[in-house]
Amino acid sequence: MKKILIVEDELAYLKLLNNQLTKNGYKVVEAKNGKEGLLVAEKEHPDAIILDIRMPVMSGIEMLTKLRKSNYGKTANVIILTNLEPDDEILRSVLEDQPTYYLMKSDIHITDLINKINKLS
Amino acid sequence: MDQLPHESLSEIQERYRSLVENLQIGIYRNTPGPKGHFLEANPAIIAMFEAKSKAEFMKHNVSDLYQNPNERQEFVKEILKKGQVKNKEINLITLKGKKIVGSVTAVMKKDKDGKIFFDGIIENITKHKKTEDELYEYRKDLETRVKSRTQELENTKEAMLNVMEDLEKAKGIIEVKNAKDEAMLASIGEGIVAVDNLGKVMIMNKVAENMLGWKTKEMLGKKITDLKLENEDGTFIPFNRRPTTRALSTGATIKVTYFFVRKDNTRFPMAITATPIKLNKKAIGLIEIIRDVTEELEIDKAKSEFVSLASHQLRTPLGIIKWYLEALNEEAYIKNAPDNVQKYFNEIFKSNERVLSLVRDLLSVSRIDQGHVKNIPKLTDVTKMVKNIADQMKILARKDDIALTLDIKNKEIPLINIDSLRLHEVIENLVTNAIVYSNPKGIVKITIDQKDDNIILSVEDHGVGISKKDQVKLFTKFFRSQNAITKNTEGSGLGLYVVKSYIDVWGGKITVKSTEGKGSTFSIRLPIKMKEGEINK
Repeated sequence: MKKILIVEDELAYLKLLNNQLTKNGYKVVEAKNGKEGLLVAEKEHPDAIILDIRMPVMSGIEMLTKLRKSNYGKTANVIILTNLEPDDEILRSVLEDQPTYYLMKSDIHITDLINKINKLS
Repeated sequence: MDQLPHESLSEIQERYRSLVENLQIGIYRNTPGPKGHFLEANPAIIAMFEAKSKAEFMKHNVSDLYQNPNERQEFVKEILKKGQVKNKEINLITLKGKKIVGSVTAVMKKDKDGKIFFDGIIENITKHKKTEDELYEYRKDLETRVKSRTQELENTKEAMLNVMEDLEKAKGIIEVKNAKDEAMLASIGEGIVAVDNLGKVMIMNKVAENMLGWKTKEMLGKKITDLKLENEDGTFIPFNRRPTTRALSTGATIKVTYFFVRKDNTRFPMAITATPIKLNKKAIGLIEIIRDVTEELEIDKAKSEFVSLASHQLRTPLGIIKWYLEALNEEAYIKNAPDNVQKYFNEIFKSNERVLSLVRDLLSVSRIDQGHVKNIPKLTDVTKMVKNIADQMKILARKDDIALTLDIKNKEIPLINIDSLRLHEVIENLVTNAIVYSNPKGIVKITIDQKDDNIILSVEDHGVGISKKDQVKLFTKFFRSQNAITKNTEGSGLGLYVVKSYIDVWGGKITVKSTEGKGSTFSIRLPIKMKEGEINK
């Protein structure tokens, strides 16, 4: 069973995602900010990480940069799922850290998201 | 000295006679009385009066030789009174009628009988007199001329004074006008700088002085282009891009906003409107109106930041609604619910999508207005992108039985370095419009081709079309054409504004051909070699 880490501070998103992924046969682990996310990622080595950007304590950007420095993190599948448009200054650095996808929460259909995750190796 | 030899009396007499007869001066003896007659006359006087002989001369009265008989009486009276007259000028006349002037010196004498007679000498001074007269005339003429010159000078002087007076008056009028102009210039809230055809400063008002930090006296005759103008990021505006240079060379009014660097190196955003002053269609100078737009930019920025923040905050709950509706839609109790429940459900979903799309557009506009659109180019396969969009859009097209066709005229269109997310937004926007404004069972055709160094992409529909009047405003913010409003009440009027803003940044072009009731074709041209830049106002 594939394992997915969701790093998301907004509970409504977190719960729904968890629900839909579980329904589609994934094991889900959760984290509420980047700092927690790093710890869980290194411990659980999930097959993919769904990562929000704007979060308290540690942002998704910071977490991704740190993640890319570890052995596991170097090649981990990371799907950025956010409401921030990808042209904001801050996102240049995100793109340097090569997320697998950059998706807008308000644009993507959940079914599309799950399809994308299904296709990940 | 040699002593004179002794001479006989007759010898002496002879010598005197010879002397008298050979002298060039007339010698005479005559009697007083109104007419007078000659008692003696030497040959010189006879010749002087042009008499043929002494006998002829002696026959004439003395008064006959006067031009004016009264003069003779005056002369006689004077001699009788004074006993002598010296060098008296008398106007005489010869026996042949020639007028001469004689200078006469005469003494009164008495003979042994007590009879009075005059002995006199006379010199013909007519020539002297004439020269003298000429001299006199000449002098008189000179005097006249001097007088007339003096008069002329006087006149000139007076004329000059009049001119000066007029000038003073004119100066007064001009001063009043200047004072008015200055008051007007000073009371205008905008800074005004007038420059000549070389960009040299001629006039500056107080507001401009305060704004620029330069006094008029310091700037007079200096080129306005010597002052520093830069972009927001501090890069220097080159001479040929300066509004002054552009307005002078093109003859058109140029409106721009740049940062001005004051003398003390502080800077501020300055809106410049450079309007050429034209003479015979040639720009002979400029009036530059300058305005400190710091506050405006701050307000603009605050507004855009507010919109941006509000939009981001709006997205989170809207996104949650969307996701939960989608999740619900998968549930059997909705799938199997009565028709009206499904209908209500769809309405909720559609409305939510509408708000999301409006938020997206508002964000795009606020980013464009803030100049915050960063071009993040990456190598993009435009053909592939168009195919994907066409596939996605088929669902929307199917609702109204609209056929969406794709015509790839050139199979080897190269990859271009472009911000693919934005390009996606642009194409999606155009295709959505074409579908939304088509009539049911219509055809929407997307064509892609390459012409020279450009990719040409066009989207053609056979829908409501756009009137000529509306076509002009089509790409402005919040504008919606009348036909569009009638057909679809939901649009924000921002889509084409955003589309055009992006295409402008890429150095491309968007054009529209449309006939009301027959449909529209939007074409975009994208240069294969992209220009780098930011979206700005």
